[in-house]
Amino acid sequence: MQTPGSSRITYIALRYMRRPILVLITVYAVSMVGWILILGLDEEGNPQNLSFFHAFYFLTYTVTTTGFGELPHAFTDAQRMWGIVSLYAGVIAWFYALGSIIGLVQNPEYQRAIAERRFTRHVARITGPFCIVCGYGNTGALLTRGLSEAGMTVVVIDKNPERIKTLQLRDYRTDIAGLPADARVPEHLIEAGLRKKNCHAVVALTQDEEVNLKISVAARVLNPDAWIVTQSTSPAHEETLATLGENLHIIDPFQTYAKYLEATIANPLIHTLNQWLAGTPGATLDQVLRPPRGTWIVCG
Amino acid sequence: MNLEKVIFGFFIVLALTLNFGFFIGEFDNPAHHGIVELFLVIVVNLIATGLKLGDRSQIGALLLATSLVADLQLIAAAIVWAIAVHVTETGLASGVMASIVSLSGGALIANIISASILVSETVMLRR
Repeated sequence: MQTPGSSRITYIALRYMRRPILVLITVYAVSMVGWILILGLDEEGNPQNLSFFHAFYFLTYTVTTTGFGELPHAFTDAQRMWGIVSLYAGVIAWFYALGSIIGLVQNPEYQRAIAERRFTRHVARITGPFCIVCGYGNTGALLTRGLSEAGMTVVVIDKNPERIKTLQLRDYRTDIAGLPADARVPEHLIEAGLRKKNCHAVVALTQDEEVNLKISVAARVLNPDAWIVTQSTSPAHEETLATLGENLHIIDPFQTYAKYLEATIANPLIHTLNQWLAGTPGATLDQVLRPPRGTWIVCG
Repeated sequence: MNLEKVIFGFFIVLALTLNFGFFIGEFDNPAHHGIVELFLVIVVNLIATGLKLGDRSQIGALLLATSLVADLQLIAAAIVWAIAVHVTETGLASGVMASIVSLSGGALIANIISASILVSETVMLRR
């Protein structure tokens, strides 16, 4: 079951620290019992064992390797022997506990939970309008760049953690948050802020069209006001998508390309003007594409 | 039969019984409340707390909370004991003993709650 990062963090940490804590308690208890039982002598040679308080005090400063000496009276040799045992046992128990803490910090599941919590907090802090981009491939990266240039805050979801890592390396003009997760899970879309009022649009750009369809449906159900932009090449999917109602934009990359090609062949000047007006990067009026004249063979 | 469950139940019940053993007796009579018993109650309670760590269910959270309450009260009792004997050297006067025993009485309530949760959960599973 998937739960929000914050509750998972404490769960993992407690689960991980359970055994070391039990070991520490046991070692302390056994050592203390030993100290109470072993006969000690005071300065005049009268028998006086350590009290529980002094035993705990002695353990506290020896197993943390501080070492104040033999208190409250000089020890007998029997007590010194037990001192060796309890010192080594205690130090080993502490090392085990510290090792477990280091192991916990390196635990991938724990790190993922931490990253998820950081992401959720980041999203919660977004105040202006923002877009959710699902799928950070070539198209997703390009779109994110464009949105950022236009001053829009973007939240990215991609199932590949490596891609989310590259997100942090690029410098964007606006705030970009990334979550390495499967966007098909509605939980993750909610974490990305889909339910928020300022969620402007959801863009489904994963390579798998099934996934895009699922994201679109989940987005429509969870937030009826947000725009949905999705990529689809199959008419069957488009039919299903069309039932999702308004505020929906389906992009068929093949159709778009075909339209551009048609425009370039039929009327290159209008196409160039169109590009220039639309503000496509690198488009200038004096740069007219002149495709070869004649008969074309179109494949696909 | 699950060994882990046996150990879990064992420590919860042992914490309760030891706590009761320490608590029972004349309220302010030091002869009726041994330090070894208090030590054992604290150790067993701490172990029970450790065993309860990392259970994410609602009942697990409540069990952990009761254990933490018991730990807190028992450790407070031990601190009172240590201060009376070693710091102020008043010894186990009846007032001191009364406060130690009442602290352990509070822990006893927490342990009773913990054990009843455990029992009721088991009964519900049976059905």
